[in-house]
Amino acid sequence: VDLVIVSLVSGVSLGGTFALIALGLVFAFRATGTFNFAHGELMLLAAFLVGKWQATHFGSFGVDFLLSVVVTAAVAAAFYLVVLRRTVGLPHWMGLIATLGLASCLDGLLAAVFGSNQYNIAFPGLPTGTVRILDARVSSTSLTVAGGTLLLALLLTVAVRFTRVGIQIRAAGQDALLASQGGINIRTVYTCSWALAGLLAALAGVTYGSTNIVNSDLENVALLAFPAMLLGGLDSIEGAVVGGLIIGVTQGFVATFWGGQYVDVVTYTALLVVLLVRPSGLFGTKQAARV
Amino acid sequence: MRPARVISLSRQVRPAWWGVLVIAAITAGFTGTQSSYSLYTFNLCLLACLGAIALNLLMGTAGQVSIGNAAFLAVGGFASVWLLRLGLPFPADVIVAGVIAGLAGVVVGLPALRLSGLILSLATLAAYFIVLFVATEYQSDASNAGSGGFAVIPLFSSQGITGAQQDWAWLLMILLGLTILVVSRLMRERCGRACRVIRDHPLVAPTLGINVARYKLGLFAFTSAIIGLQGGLTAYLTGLVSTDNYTFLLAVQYLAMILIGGTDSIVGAVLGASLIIALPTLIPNVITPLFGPTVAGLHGPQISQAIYGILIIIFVTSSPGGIVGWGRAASNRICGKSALRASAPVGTAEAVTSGTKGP
Repeated sequence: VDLVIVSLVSGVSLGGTFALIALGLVFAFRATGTFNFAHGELMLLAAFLVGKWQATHFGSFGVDFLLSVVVTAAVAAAFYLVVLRRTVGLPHWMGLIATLGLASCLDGLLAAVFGSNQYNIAFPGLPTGTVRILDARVSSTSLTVAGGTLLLALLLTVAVRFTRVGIQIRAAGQDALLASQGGINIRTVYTCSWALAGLLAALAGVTYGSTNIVNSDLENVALLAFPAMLLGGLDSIEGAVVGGLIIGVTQGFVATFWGGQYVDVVTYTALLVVLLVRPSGLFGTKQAARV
Repeated sequence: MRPARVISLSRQVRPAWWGVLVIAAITAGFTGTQSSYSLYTFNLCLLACLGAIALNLLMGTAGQVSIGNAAFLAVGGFASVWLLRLGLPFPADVIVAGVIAGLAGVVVGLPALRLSGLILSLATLAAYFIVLFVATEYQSDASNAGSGGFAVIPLFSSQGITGAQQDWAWLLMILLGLTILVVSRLMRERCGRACRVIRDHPLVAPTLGINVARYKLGLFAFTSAIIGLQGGLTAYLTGLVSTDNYTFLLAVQYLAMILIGGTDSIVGAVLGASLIIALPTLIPNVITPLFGPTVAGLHGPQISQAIYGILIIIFVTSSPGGIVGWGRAASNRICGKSALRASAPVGTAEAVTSGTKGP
């Protein structure tokens, strides 16, 4: 029972991060119909910035955090405005390749600027130590992170469902032509979506970095969130949160009972199974035509 | 889709033979004059051409998005090592490794029967990580392989350093020539037309009597086999097989090759592969005067990585036809053809809404 609770808590903590990442991927996907393979690099950018600034005592944590979020969101929005906007009308995989280009570019630049340094992010206000739940010792840090990220993801889901901007984003994602006829400025909304994706990447990067070491392995975490996105349904915002949780908990159990090296392979096998059995995921829009 | 033109078979085959002749001439020039290090780069370039031509057939001609290219390279490399350790000597183990990579290609291609476009890229991503997992397990289980990977005795090493590279150049040139002849055949006529219909109008293809499943699986098998063959040969050229060499961003390099050269074109694949492989050796010459030798020495690979990315972004936004596209546009301008024929057909509705969802 102890092991089950430990893996459940670590899984939910991971799942919260995955939910944030998958939400970012979904926003980008709904706006421009491409998978954002540069999401991990955006996460790394934010985490590196905060880590670097903390190491050199530049500003307080709040300032560092805010600045890194703004920078990451600006990079994402600029990428949409400068690059993705021009892939309209090209074969649909051009946008995807463009995000891979951004990934490669950021990866090289980050490696050149920050080198192979490792940073620790100290998130002030995070409790340390352990908590006992039903006789199991659980790190209260991961418990707080789990709660915080999930709350954030849920808040965002609710905001997108009920606020005016959220409804515009959803409408533009469903049918751009119809939304533009309804008086929605598609370009602004898409820019906002990409900025939001960047913001979510920054949040996920910093929270993940605060419980783990920040080095270049961080960017692979975003690739692990693709199964979460697919499981929830590619274009479903609620699905991203649920998918993230499911994948996170699965990984928690796999890591505890089988060992850490099986995490990746189980996650991607799950991705293949979902692809073959139910390509539209749990909550996604079904494609009418099968090819 | 380009309008079908009636041209006799002999006129269609000729450009491929000319291309092979040009490559043979370049090979002769290089082996005659260059040092062993330049020849080594040239050989890596020829190897990359093999993979780029195969990926170009799969992605550029048939429109099947694959970002798991490194997976098939890894299958080729590790299967060669595995077979070699089982006692199969050189040519046989690489060939069987190619067959194994082809089978892996069929397995990865199976989702392609039901999935279109973008989602297929996720399947290839999953395949990459699964292959990497198996390779890592094999590498860590094998008795005499260190954490650095498997050492393979490079081929032709008895010929001396320069002689070995010269032999390699001719071997690879012959293989590349064969590949070009076969692929140029596949990209034309019935097969090529079928592939382009599958790419541009996936729902129409079955109604024209095209067996989509057979084409997709066949293409995945064929191209993966070539890429696997490339992986096996690379192991014998570099003398090392390690999981560290098959990174996710290696696949990005291959995408950059076919995009920069020009999709759906063999010439484009060859040009792109040469450029991308030559870039890391050219970049230090550019960086050293700008930032000084220490920066160039420390961050050379990272800077080339960033430049690949920037090149991809530039080509995607400004000239999606690649270098070959420039050539086509220039020749059209000179010959006075209208620019309309050169540009890709774009539906009006698609132009407004694309960027939202796939078809």
